[in-house]
Amino acid sequence: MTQPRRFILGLDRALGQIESALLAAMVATITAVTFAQVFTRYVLEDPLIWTEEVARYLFVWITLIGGAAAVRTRGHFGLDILRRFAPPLRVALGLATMLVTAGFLALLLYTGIAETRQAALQLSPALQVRMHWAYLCIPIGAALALWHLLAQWVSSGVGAHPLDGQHKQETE
Amino acid sequence: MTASLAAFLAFVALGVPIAFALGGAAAIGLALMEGAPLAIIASRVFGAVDSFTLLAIPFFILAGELMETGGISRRLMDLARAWVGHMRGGLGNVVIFGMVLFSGVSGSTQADAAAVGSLMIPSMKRHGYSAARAGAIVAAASGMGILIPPCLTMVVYGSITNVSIGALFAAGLLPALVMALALAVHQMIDSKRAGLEPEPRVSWRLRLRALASASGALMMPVIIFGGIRGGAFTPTEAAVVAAVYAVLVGGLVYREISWSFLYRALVRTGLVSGVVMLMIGGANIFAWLMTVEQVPHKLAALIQSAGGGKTLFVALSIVVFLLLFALLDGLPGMLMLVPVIVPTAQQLGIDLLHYGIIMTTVMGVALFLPPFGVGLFIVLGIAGCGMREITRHLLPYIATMLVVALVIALVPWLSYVVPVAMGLYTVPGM
Repeated sequence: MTQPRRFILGLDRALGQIESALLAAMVATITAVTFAQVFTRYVLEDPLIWTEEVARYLFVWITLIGGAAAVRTRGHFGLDILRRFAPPLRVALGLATMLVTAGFLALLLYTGIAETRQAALQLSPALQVRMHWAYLCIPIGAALALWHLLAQWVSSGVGAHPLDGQHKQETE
Repeated sequence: MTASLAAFLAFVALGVPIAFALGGAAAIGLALMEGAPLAIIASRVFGAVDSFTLLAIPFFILAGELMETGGISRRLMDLARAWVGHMRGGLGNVVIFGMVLFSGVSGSTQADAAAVGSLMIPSMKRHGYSAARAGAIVAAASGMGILIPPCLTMVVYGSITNVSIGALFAAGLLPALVMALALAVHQMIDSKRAGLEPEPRVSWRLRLRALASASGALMMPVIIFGGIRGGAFTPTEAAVVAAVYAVLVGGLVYREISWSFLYRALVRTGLVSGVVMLMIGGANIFAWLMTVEQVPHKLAALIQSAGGGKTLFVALSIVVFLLLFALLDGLPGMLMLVPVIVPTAQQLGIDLLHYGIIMTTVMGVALFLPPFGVGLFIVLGIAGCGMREITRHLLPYIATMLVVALVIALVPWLSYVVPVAMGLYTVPGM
């Protein structure tokens, strides 16, 4: 194994573990926060004002981190009929698909950075925190997803396809 | 517009994951549009997910993950076996009745098929059912189960169309019952002809014991419905209460949730939510293009000029849903269609609650439609039989389900009566 290859795959694995831990922590927190909202509204009848905002921004974070992690675990849905019925096209299909996916992720990264910068000037309505903390997950998620694609390409060669081994690899 | 639609179809055919195919195709449409700001890519994704309504999705997924521990599904199936196992049709009825109960604690049809299938198919095989027959019954029952709340499809549909999710949940109940009854009758005739014996009758004492043992799980639908019905909870709040309840029942009462199980359930919830919500984000970029280009308006005009009204549109919808949802695993197909087709339906004066129930019903059939339905592959894996064998047994059930779907489409009363009685919906023009 060459050095860059080992680095790319090693970092991929480490990022995957960090993503899993982050997801578990965020899902646990969002559940607790939203439950606290229900509890304070219906039982204590003195609702907290910040819970809904925290939950919504956490939700965006979960989406982008979960979406990136799913690139690594091949959790995304797609149609693989053409690949199943036309094996000779596998390499071409894989390459085209990886390029389209990477292209969109790159656009998401680029526009995500721009939006995050702009959001630094806004304050959130309830918490009065700078909105770039909410938007930051978009460039981070896009970058993580791109890294996972790169790692897949490195480990499986030019014919790698984002749907390869779909639903096989579970969480670790 | 045409370019981005063509790009989308090409991307999907290549096998690009739906979320990125939607986003990528919309980006092409944006690039071709004069003065369209690229920045909306990030902001539309953010805007789609920054929603308190859709937050019900991770909570229902989490509740489902936790309730699908072996013990809870086994308790529900034991309950079904004690109450309906002795009737003609035996274990087949247990599958159908058990699925009604199980769908009430789980929001995902594929998960239902996996949980009920892995529990029931082995025991059906021991009682003389062929793998294909057992698999076909589980597949048909799972397709019915999508109509029973909580249902992720309805949460997504409701959040996009602004139809009350509580009303959608209530509206699915009666159609689900009709579907379950039709399947049960079909199945009884079928197993009688095959000479399959029912289970021995169970004493009332054992029946009540089975009921008591499953009551922890059965409280879940009561909480969801009680909360939404009283007008106290929004679906999101009901979902979070359900998730916390699942942790308490599974961890403290049934003692079946370990820390490592909980961790995995949390991670899986994050992953599945990410996949679903990124698709919704991609669809939201696409929806912007559709609206700007007035596609729904043009489509409605086209259908009207072809001399067709509501009936033609609904009939066409059913055919399109069936094929598209079978090919695209249901939810992704729906996310693709809803931005175009729902505003068109609205222009034609179709009630969106009824339309949503029709869409959900057809999705249930499509998920198990041979040879593509994604749910069918799950059942095949568990039953250990081939596509051709199961198709022979499944097609008659699919026919029954499609007849019920037509009845649901033709008799809107079935969808309206429960939500109207619960005060969750007012039918326009009535």
